[in-house]
Amino acid sequence: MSSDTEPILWTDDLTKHYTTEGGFIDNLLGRKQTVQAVNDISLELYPGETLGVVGESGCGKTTLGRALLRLIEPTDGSVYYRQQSDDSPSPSPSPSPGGSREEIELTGLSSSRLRDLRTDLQYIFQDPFSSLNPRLTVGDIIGEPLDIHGIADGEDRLDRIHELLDTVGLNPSHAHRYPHEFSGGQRQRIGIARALAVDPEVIICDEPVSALDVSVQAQILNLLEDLQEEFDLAYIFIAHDLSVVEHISDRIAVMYLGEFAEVGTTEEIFSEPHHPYTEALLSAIPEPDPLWEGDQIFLEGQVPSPIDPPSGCQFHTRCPRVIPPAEYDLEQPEWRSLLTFKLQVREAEEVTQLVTLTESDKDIREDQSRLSRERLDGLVRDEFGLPPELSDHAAESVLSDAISDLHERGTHACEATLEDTYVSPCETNDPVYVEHSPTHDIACLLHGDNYSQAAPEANQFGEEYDGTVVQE
Amino acid sequence: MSTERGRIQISGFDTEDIDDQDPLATASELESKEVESRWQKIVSNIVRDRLALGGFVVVAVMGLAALLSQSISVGGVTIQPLSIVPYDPTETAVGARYAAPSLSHPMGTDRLGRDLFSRVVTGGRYSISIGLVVTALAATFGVIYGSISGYFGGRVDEVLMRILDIVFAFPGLVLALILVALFGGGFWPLVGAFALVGWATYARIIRGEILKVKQNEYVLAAKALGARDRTVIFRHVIPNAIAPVIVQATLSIGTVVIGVAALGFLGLGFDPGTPEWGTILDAESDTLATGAGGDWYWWATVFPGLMIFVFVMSMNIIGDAVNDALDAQVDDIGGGG
Ligand code: SF4
Repeated sequence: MSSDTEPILWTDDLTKHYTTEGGFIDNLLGRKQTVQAVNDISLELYPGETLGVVGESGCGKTTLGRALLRLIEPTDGSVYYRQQSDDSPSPSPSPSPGGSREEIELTGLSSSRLRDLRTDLQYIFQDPFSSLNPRLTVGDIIGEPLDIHGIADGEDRLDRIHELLDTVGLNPSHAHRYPHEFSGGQRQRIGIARALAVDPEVIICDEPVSALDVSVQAQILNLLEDLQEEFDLAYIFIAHDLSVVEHISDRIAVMYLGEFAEVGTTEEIFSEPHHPYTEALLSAIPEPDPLWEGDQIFLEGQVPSPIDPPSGCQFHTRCPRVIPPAEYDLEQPEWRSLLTFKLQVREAEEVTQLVTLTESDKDIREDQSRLSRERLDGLVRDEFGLPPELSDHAAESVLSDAISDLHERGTHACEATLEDTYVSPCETNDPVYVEHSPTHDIACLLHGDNYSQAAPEANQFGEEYDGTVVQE
Repeated sequence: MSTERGRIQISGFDTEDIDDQDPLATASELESKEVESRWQKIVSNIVRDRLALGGFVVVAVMGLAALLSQSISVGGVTIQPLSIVPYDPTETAVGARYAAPSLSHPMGTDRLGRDLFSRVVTGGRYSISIGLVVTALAATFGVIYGSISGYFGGRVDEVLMRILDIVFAFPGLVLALILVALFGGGFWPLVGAFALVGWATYARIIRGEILKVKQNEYVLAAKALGARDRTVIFRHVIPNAIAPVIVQATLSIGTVVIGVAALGFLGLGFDPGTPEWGTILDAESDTLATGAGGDWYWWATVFPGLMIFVFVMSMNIIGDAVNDALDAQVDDIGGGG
């Protein structure tokens, strides 16, 4: 489908930062926080293709979708759209392929020009309940874009509404009903009909099925595929898991904390080499196979807050493959645990925030000085899954020093001990995109030249990881 | 891992069936009748609630009687020819001074021998119409003001809300009193004074609602379709935020009537001879306790007072019923937004 070599919609370092509006006092004291929702995203969407954007909730994918259409104003960067330049005011039934197109920068357009472009770029919302005005009839909801852009009125308008309802598989005679008379799936169809009313070229689908029952999801996905074929639409399809986009996408971008971790065709995303984050997402897709072992990679911890995102590679707080420092010879799981320990010590104020005390430790909870060095050692190693003795001697001695510090002088002393000794290259180096094929980019140090040797030969997942660049 | 492209196949489960089986087709027409509009809901709630129905009848009778009490002509053209009251309310000496209630003067007469029944019924014109006009003006302005503030947010909101705080810092009735004292009485100055005092409440109420409503995705959807802010506000935001304003408006008609009467009783507002309820009370205030010579002309103050009481009470009962009706309408906007 992506035979067209020119993208129809693309961005250049699109960035959206929110400034949290604190109260009056906060503003006075200059206590403003910046949420880095979307950071320097560059993407391309080709005519007639579907680009899936996948990421956990809070990774900024909805912000990206909205910033693309300037439903929220991007902080920085640009969005370009290549418009059919022989576009007559009334929408042509289907854009003639190869017709000359005019490049338009959406960012920086006046609001009236942008309003005209809304007939080409449309959006489908996630929540079919809150995306339809409960006080308007379905006919008026779908008719609204027709009114706004003066596409049709009177009889024509009614005919067009009926035609649209029919296109999305709803009964045209229901045009006078209100949204609450419909089920979730039907409402989503109404939302789709509304987006189709202006005869768009690009539709951004923001998790259009995640609020629906599984059986209904398939129907809506099929409908979207049919519509794409019928009207030659390009989709940006936002979803929070790979299994949904697998079937509908031509290409997939995996998003983590406002950045793309990996971009590639669907085949490339689903086959090696992977970005470690993609790998974890893939392992979470259940296979319809009774012998499926479920060797799921559980990502530890929460998605870090985009207010103060981690340094270096943003994924290093959770990455199972995070690169160990060259001076130690550690097993990968050991290293992961050590780094997690270090990161948590950084956050903690008290020993009790780090370890889980059992019933029998009640007296310790009351009086922390009763905690013995040995007991703390055991508790810490239990909590973080560290072995009684690390495989590397140098690393082991640092760890036991750190635990002694934790015991005698508290978390800050322990932090000081750990901070400079265990440093992963992932913490300090920002990974750049490594091109595995013209369509496949991965942002991970393991895929670059400098650290590919450092990648562990074997790890807990029992897979060989050879860090060399594989051309497909 | 399957990289096979194509549609999601779910076995043992034919999606065709689901497409065909349209749950709406089986929904009976009865069910769709249950879907009432906001106004139908208010009406049906008032009809069902005996007390509210009583209140509504009282208000309707008083309003109608006031309207028909005397002929109304605008610019020489008579638009309401009926005069149902027995006497001209401003004509003096239609009976004896302080005649007790009798068949010819059902509510007696006042100190100048004017027929109290005619005066009190006609008096509804002033109080009720001021109540309605003030509420309409204040609500309209307040809704627009509050909508702009809530919808645009940020700096605009900040400035508009600070202005609102200043208006709120004055005690309402005192502000109205000062305004009337400054600009003189009469119908329009009174309307102006009360509207200036009253709009702030509506602005604050609708702003709060709009902050909630604008979170809904349909607002963003309208923007995505290219709708102008004006359309978004009037078509999508206000209709979904107006319910508490309607309740407040109903309740405040009574408050305004009391306020007008209070100013009248203080001798502000209308000329002393005007048959406005508060003004009548003021003129006859010396008869509140005992009149000259130990006679107590109770009818001179009781009837106008009773009119105020009954009207405001009925309005409040209606207001409560409207409140119930609109609260009962829980829109099924479930889920997050
Ligand atoms: S750069 Fe490091 S932390 Fe980031 S994904 Fe690659 S291995 Fe993991």
